[in-house]
Amino acid sequence: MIRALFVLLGLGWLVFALSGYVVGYVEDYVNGSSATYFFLMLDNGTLIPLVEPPPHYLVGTGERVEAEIVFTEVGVGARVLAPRELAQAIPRRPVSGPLLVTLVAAKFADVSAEPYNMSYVHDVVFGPFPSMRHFWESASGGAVIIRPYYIHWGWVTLPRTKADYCNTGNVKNAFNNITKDVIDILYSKGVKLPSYSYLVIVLNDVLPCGPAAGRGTISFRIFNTPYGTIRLAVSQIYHYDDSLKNEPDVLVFAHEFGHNLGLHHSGAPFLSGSEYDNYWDVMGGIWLWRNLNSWLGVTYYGLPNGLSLPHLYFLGWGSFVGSGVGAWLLGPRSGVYIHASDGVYTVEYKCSGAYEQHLDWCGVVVHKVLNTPDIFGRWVYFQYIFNVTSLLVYTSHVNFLDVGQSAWVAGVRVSVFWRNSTHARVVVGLPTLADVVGANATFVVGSRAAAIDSVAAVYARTAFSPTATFTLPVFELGISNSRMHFNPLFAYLDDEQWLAQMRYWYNRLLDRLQIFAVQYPGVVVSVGGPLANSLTRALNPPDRLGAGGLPFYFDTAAWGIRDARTGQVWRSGAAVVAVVPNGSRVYILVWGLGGEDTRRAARWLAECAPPSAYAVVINTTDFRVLASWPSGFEGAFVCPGAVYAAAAVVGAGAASIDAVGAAMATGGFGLLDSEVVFDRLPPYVFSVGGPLANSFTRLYNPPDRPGFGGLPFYYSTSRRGIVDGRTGALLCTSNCFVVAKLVDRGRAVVLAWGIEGHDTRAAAAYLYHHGRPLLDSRSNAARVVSWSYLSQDGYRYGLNFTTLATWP
Amino acid sequence: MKLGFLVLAVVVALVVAAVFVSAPRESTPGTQQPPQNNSPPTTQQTNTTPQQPIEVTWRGYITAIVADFVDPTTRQMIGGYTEWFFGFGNGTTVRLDFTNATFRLRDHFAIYVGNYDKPVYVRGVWNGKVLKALEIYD
Repeated sequence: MIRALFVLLGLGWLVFALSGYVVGYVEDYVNGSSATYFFLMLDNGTLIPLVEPPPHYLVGTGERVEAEIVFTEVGVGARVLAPRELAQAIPRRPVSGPLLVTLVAAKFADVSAEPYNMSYVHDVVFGPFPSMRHFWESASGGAVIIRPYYIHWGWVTLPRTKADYCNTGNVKNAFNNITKDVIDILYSKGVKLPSYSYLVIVLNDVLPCGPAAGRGTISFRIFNTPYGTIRLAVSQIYHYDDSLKNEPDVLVFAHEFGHNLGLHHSGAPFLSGSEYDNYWDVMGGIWLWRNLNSWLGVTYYGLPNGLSLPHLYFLGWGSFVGSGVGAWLLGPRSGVYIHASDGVYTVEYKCSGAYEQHLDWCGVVVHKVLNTPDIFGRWVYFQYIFNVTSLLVYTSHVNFLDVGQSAWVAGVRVSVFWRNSTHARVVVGLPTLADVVGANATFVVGSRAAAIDSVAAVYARTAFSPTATFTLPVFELGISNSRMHFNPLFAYLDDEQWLAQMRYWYNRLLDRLQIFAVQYPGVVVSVGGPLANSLTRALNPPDRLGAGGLPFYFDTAAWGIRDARTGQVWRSGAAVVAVVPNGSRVYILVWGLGGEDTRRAARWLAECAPPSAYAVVINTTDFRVLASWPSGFEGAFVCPGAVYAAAAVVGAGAASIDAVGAAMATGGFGLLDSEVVFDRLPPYVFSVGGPLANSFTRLYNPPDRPGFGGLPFYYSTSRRGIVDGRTGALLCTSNCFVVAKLVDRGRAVVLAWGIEGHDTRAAAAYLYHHGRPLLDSRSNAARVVSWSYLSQDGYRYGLNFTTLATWP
Repeated sequence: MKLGFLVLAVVVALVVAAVFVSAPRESTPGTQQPPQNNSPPTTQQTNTTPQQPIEVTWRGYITAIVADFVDPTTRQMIGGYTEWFFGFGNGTTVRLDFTNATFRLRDHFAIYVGNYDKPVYVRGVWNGKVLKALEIYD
């Protein structure tokens, strides 16, 4: 019997291979001893004890591992399996340990200039950030240590002129002869270079027969010396411009040393175009010129960009958390790969790191690793994922995925759902509802929808986190750290054309900058049905299948939700929740037959654990799943509920934009003003909308007179503006708002209202971005703030605030 | 008797097959397509003017020097150029062109470049200046 059970469980293991994350905790006892416990944590939070300690580097890292079930006398446990090894498609030639580097500054016999002093030469190679040494030690995560073997302090003079070197047949001979002459000079000074060491030669001019900025050997070459044959990896760095005296080009040093480590160029897959184009990789040929304060004082430094995952893996410094379809958490040195017929695609996240933090954007990028090299010997291509490519110009810096974006890679979708400064959650394959919960999101409601529809967005926000994306990179070089937030919005009306990101690229044919505009930040949660919300209607139109074959739609003849597969129709108490990848973005649709159904559907998202289905129709009364796509998830569902710390109250007759503001202000209970029962409110109550539109706001802040607790700011119906009751002054009549925190019977009532609906939303945005001091105040407080849209090239990308008055 | 003959035939066949399979790697591949010259060139030869092209098969190493050009105005890389070489392991190298080569390597090409633990065979046409590879294998 037991054996049969084991067989069944074994079969179950074969069908459902375990995967999850390794977690652990330590118990420290008062007698000084301790005990450590490790678990495999499944996606649903289930903890299975591990029967043996896992590799330390997996604990608490969030890296997905595979495991097997193990039966012991004390019960069922799990054992972590060795990481899946990648097939030979991505090469690996690890480099680790100390690397001995000899540094020589050499003058051509006919050029007397010494463009840099030796302190400069030393620091650009061995100095602190930014330097060649610092970059490669950082990129390797400490796997390599770059040690000076010998530094010749002072310029040496080569025995030949530039012309002499160029007249030796070809540039290859010039490269070799310069190297041999330097080896001889060092030998004359008693220095013998060890085999398999690195030689960096800084030259005081360029070669006329090939005025490169740098040359490097890919890995090692043989050189015959007076003391025998040695194998050296050699970089030659030329003084290609006098600006380098004041602005160190660290990248060219790091790039050539990358060749020495065995790397080739990574970039555009255009055999007739540029050899380079990889903004995310030191071997991609694109500089980050950044104004920094470092070893040469405050000046521009040409920074290396980081190292792409194929190169990290090649050198033994990166890993893959998995391959193919699945949900993956990508860290700074890890990614996933997708097999293709002619190579492998890698997916990685670039954001954190000493050098990566200077990239204009954080993004998920894709590379293609060729099985065999192209005619130039390159084997890593940057993979363009949007329709912004050119033979002539660099566009790799705009071809990345931010949260909410999605692209096809090797025939499967790759979507980004969440990210912070170090990790990103990526789904390979079609995402399900279970995948999207917790995503960084944007909320969209119909501009003419009923307020209750829009209040649903408040619940929806509980299930998601507002998007964390950056808004606009400042293009000018004058700002050293160009990643910035500009008080972006994340709640919109369906008829607004908001753009969250403007990614610039230079169009050489047109000789001007162009913008690759990204409309929304984050996954777009479209709240409200197809008759009330035009975005929902575009993706899930009435009377026919929705985007991607979504089988649930509103049937106008039957006046209900129809399942196209079965013909079944639900005419009341039902709602659709669906995840719909479309184009380069992922949308989540939340809509019911009525406004209350929409609100319940959003609440279902907030309080229940959505299934691994693309879409469901739910019963909005008891939260049962009536139908799912694909089938198999019907029936009662797990709904642990939620504890709400906040509520948002909106006027039942208010404009949609007020309710949009509510979603901007908070997640939690979404209430109409007519529904408020004070004693049942959570500790924080956000009342959104002015005293003429929201009766709950009117209780605390009535028009034409001071409000609760002496709140001096009020709306004057005769002067049509906000008045300071302390002075009687009219503070503003447009583009301004009031935010206030009032403490009433143990609850914090937070008011956010403006002259008009857009002012009210701006008030909510202010609370989100700058409201913490106000919300943390222990007594009543308020501000009147004016605001304006930030816009560029006709696109709005953020808000600007100016405080007009404060209380107290 | 019949069984013994059969065993003998199988053994002979296996031996012949083994010799046949191992031949390209262990013997001089140049014997496959005469006329050939499998003697490595001297340093002087590598710098001479082109000679009558001959097909060769040489054993050695792949090395490379990459040049990176920068536009001083935009300060971005504007062109890269890689010269590939075939080295004999004694300091003598010849230029290598693998534009039309077929790769039959057991590992990825990138692992062989500048790696003196990974010799390769290159079958190609040597014209006195450039070795135009037809096949690269190990």
